[in-house]
Amino acid sequence: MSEHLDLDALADLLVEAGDEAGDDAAAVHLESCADCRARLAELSAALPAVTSSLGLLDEPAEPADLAARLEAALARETAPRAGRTPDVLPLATSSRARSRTRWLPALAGVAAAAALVTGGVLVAQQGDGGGTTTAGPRFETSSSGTDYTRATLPQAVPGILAGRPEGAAQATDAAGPETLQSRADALAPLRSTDGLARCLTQVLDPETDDLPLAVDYAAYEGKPALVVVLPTSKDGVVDVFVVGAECDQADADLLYFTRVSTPS
Amino acid sequence: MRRVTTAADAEDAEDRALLAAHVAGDPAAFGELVRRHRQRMWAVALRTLRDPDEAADAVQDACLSAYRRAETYRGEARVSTWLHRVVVNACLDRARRSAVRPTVPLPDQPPADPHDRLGERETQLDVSRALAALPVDQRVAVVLVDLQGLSVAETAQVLEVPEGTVKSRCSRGRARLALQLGHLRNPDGAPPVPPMTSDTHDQTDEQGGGQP
Repeated sequence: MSEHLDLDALADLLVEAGDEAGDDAAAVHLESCADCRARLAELSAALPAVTSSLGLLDEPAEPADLAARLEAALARETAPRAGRTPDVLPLATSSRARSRTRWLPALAGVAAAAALVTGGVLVAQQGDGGGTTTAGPRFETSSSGTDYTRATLPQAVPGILAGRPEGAAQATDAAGPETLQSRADALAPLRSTDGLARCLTQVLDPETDDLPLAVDYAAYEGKPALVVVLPTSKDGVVDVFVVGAECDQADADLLYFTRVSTPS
Repeated sequence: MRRVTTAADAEDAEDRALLAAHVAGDPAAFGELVRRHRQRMWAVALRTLRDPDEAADAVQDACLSAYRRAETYRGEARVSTWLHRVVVNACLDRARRSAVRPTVPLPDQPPADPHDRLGERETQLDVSRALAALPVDQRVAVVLVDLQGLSVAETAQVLEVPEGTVKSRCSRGRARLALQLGHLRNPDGAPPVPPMTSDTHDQTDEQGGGQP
C-alpha cells in the first residue's frame, strides 16, 4: 500500500473499528510510513481540543411556540385515531364515535345561518337543529374576514367570544372586497354542516363533550382561516385553534394554536 | 458511560409508566412524556438538521410517530433511547427529502446570551458550522454521543447499527472537526490531508432506516 492514509482511515485506526481489510492494510502502511504515524499522533493529540470545542456549544434554545405546536398536533391526532385502535382505547372510542354525531344537529343552524353571510359581521343565532333533537348548546359564529396574526389574535379572542370580532372594519379597508370575497369563497366548504362538523372533529377534544365557544370565519397571516375557540377545564382560559380551508380533509389544516386567558 | 445510572433509571421508570398509561388510554400521559423530553428532542433535531423550521417539523413528526407507535414499544431500550430513535429517523427522513437542496449555514444560534465574551461566541459559531459541515451520519453520531451524552451502546440502539460503526462515525466526525477547527496542522514534510470526500465515504453499512 503506497497511498498515504486519509483522515477517515486515521480516525478508524484510533478506535480500531475500521472494516477488517482496511484495518490490515492501514496497519501495514502505518508500520512503514513515518509521515502517517506522525499524522496519527497529531490527530490523537487534537481530540481533547475537539472535545473542548464541542463543550462550548450551548443547548439550543427551544422556540417559544414549539410546546404549543406539539400540543396542537397531538390534540389533532386524537381525532383521526378514533376507531383505528379500539382494542387499545375501549373507553375513548365510544365517546369519539359519539362526538361527531353529537354536534351535527347542533351545527346545522349555525352553518345554515353562516351560509347567508356575504361579508361583514354576522352573529348566528343557532336554530334548534331541525327540531329532531333537544336544542344543542349555542356558540357564537361570526364572519369577520379579519386577517389575524400571532400578535393580534389573543386580544381579539374576547370579541370573537362575544360574536363581535374587533377589526372587521379595518380588515375590510386593508384587504379590499375582492380579497375578502376570495377568503370567504375558500372557506365555503366549512360553512356546510357536514364540512364544519368534519373540521371540528379535528380540533375538538373527543374525550369531552365540549362544543366550541365561538368560531370566526376569518384569515390568519393572509390565509383564509377558521378561528375556533374552545373551552378548557379552567375558567377564563380558552384554546384557540386556527385552521385553514382544508380543515375538513383527513389531515387537519392547522395553522396555529394558542391558549389564552380571557377575563370572565 | 452512564454517569448517573440510578437517576436515569428512575427517570426511565417514570417514562415507562407514562407510556403505559398512554397506551391504556390516559389522554394526559403522552403530553407529559413530550414535556419531559421535548428539549432533548429539539436539541437533537436542530443539531442534525440545522434549519430551525425543519427541526421543528421533525420534532412534530417524531411526536406523532411516537404517539401512534406507542404500542410497539417493547421495553428493550429506555424510553428516552426509543424517543431519540424516533427523532433521528424523522430527521433523516427530512434530510433525505431535502438532500437536493444546498446546505445552509447553521442559523441556530439565537442571540440568547449577550453576556458571552466576543471570542467565545465566535468559537461557538465556528464549532456549529464545523458540526453542520459533517456528513449527516457522522454528525448524528457526534451529536448523540458527544453532545447528548448517550453511551456508544445507546447510540448503537438509536441508530440500529453495530457499536463499532458508532465508534467509527464518531471518530471520523471528530477528526473532521479537528481539521475544520484548525486543531490539526500538517507538520512539515507530512503529506497534506487528502481532501475530504462526501457522505459516500462513510461506513459500508447503510443507515438504519428501520422504524422503531
